[in-house]
Amino acid sequence: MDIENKTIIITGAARGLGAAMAKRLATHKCKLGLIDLEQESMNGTKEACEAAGAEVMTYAGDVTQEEDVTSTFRQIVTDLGPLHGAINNAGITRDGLLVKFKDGAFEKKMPLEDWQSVININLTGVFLCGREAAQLMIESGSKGVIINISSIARHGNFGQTNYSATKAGVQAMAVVWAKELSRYGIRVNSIAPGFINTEMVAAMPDKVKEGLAAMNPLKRIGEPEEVAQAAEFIFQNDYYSGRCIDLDGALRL
Amino acid sequence: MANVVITGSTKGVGRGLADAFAQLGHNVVISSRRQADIATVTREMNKKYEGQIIGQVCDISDKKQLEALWDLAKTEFGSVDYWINNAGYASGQSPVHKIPENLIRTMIDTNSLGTLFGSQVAITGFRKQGSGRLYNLLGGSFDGRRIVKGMGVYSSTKASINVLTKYLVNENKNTNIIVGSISPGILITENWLNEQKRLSPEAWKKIRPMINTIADQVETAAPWIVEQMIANNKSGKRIAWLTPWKILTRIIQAKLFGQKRDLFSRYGL
Repeated sequence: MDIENKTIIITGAARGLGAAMAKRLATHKCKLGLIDLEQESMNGTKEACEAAGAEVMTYAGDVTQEEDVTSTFRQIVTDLGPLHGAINNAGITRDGLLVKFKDGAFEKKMPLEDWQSVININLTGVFLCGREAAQLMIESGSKGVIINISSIARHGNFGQTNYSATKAGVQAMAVVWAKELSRYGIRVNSIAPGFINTEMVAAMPDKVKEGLAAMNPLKRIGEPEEVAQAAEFIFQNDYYSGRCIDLDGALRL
Repeated sequence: MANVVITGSTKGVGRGLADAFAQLGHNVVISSRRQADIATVTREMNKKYEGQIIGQVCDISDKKQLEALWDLAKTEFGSVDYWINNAGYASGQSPVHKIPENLIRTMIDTNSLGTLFGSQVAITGFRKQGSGRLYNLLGGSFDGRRIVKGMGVYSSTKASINVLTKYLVNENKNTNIIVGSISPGILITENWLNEQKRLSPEAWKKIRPMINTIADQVETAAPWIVEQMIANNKSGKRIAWLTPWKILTRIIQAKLFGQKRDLFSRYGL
């Protein structure tokens, strides 16, 4: 796909990978509909993308609310034109052990609340946004691209029962959708980043970060720009569908 | 009883005007772009009111659909007494040079072209039947006197409607056709509430006191606007809910007499 002048929606676009992907795609002078919980949190991304030559509109929306997703996606195509791309990026972590014992005594277990909030945003949110994107693309006859942002945690990461389950889930959904939507010319893929230099990782203690770099075969964590480049590749390569790009510097959990 | 056609009348100000006309026993044609909304609204209104409420899908940027709306009203009710070009689209978050091309087209198609086509259809029909009343909706800053951040294109479409209306008044002055405009002020509609809910708490806190003083519920303003429309026999009249005088009075009431008004707690704002 030639990205120029295409309407692309990115969820969780205020910072991190969402912002990096927006900025990368913006260099192709596309039309970006950016979604995050708070409108003003996206001002920085919007300005950078506009400076790169893209047309940008920001929308406050909660990806877990069906009504919100439907109305926001509809408003985006009214404002920017037929939908050609959607990157389901919004996600959170609520890490914790499944059950925690200390000196043989039960201490705590992962609260259902922490399970549910991660499932709601990372899994249900992707389902709702992917479903809406697919419907809009089919309605307008766009041979579009959908990208689900998975994670290296899809293979199962210590302390991430909830997160790992959702990241395996969105990767599997991408495969299902690629099969179901190929008849409309829509391609669906996922990207599974390893440890990337975003706020999520920046918030970790220096020692942990050094450890993450040391255990990686490439001896460093990845950059958001490198993930953005993978997203760009998925848009541009018309034969790439139903697969997952593992962007982790050869790290295996 | 009069027969009334209102575009964009399944929600917001249009719905309020439809309710106010129906409340008085008039027949109303409801329209919007979504059949599902029309079905819900006509069902609700027919349960509540004496007059007949019918509806049809109408994308006002397509003149044929407006003509079909006229034909429906004419066929079902025999005549059209009021035609209200209400449907419009507002979206403002960027200075003019950064507003996406598609959004500009959407606003011009809906607001300027839609009202223009609607006016053509109404005047053509009114001339054939000998009389009728046409009202066009203006919006904030239609005269460009007050600059509202991000609303450059929206306000300029409303300015075009203002000028268009003046021409229609002039061109129809020796007929039984009355042409006027409506400035609804700041009314709390579903869309308007959603816009405010999306502001950051700080931004909302900043504008809340003023808005709380000068905004109104649709149900408060719409019956008055409809009364004015019915009473008006003079072409060229602008029916304004929120006059400078009213703003001043409200501010004085709030500041000097400490009159408490709370429009927003009920919406969790």
